[in-house]
Amino acid sequence: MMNLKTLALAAVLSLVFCGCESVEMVDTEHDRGPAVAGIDYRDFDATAQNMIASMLETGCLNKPDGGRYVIAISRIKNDTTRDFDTDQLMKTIRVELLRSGKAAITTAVGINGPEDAMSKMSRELRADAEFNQNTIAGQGQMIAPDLSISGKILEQKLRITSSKTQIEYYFQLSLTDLKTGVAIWEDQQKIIKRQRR
Amino acid sequence: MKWKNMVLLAMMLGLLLTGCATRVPEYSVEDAERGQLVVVGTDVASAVLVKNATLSENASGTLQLSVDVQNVSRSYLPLEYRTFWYREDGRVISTALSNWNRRGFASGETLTLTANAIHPEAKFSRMQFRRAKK
Repeated sequence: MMNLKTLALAAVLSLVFCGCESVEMVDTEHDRGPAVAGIDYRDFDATAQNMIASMLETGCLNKPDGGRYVIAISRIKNDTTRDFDTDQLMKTIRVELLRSGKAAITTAVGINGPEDAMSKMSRELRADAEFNQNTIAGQGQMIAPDLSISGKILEQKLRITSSKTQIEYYFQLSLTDLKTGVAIWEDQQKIIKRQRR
Repeated sequence: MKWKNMVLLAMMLGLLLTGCATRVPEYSVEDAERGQLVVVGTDVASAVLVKNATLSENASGTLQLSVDVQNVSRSYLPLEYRTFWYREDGRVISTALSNWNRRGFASGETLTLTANAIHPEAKFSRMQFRRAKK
C-alpha cells in the first residue's frame, strides 16, 4: 500500500516537473545569449556577411557587359564533427547575391543533379496534347551557369589546458569561372572559440 | 503588522528594481552628416570616440561605410557593431546580414570598421555600437 502511494507521488511530481519546462523565443536582432561551442545562426550570419562583403569589395561580380552572372552551387563540404546542413550558410549568401543585382543562382544545374528538377520535367510535357504547347518552355531557353561556388567548412580542436579547449572553424569558399576553370575569388573566414569544462 | 508592512515594502521595491533592469537602453548620436549616422549605445558612449565616418563606393559600385573609432577607455574594450542601410526615401533595406559583428580593441587603439551595402539602392547608412558581452 505504501509502495503504491510512493509511486503515485513520484508520478505526480514528475508530471509537475515536466510542466515546469520553459521555452523562450530568441529575438535574433538583439540576441545576447552566450556563445555555443558548435556553430549557431550567429556564426553562419557573420560568415555570410563577411563573404558577401569580400566579394563586393573585390568587384569580382562586375560583369564586363553589365547584367548578372549566373552562378551554380557546387559542393560545399561539411568537414566538421558538427551535424548541420551547409545550406544554413549558403542560403543566406544566395539570397544576398540575388538582392545585390550582381548574380542569380541557377537551380537547374547542381553537383548532385538539379536542385529543382521541375525545369527539366516541365519540358517533358512537350508531347502531351493536354497542354497548350505555347505555354511550355521552348528549346534553348535555359541559361548555363557562368560561375560556380564551392567550398569547405573545417574544424580543428586544440587542447590548451586539461580544462580548456580551443575550437577553430574555417569557412572556405571559391568562385570559379566555368569557362576557364580559374578561381576568380577565394576567401577564408575563421571562427575561433574557447571552451572551459 | 509591522512585519507585514516590511514584507510588502520589500516586494514593491523588488518589483520596481526588476522594472529598471529590463529597460531598453537609450542611444546617443555621435556623428551625423552626409547620410551616415553613427549611433553609440550609452553602455559604451564614454569609452568610444567616433573620429571619422565616410561613405564611398566599393569596387562593385555599392556604398561602403568606413568608421574610425578609438577606444578612449583605460582598458580593453569588446565592441559589437552592426549596420543598417536605407533607400533614398528612408525605407530600410531588408537584409539577413544586419547582425552584430564583434571586434575588440586595446586602450587607445583606433580601428577602422567597414560595412558594405549589398543592395545598389542603398543611399544612407546607420552604424550601431554596443559593448560586447564576454
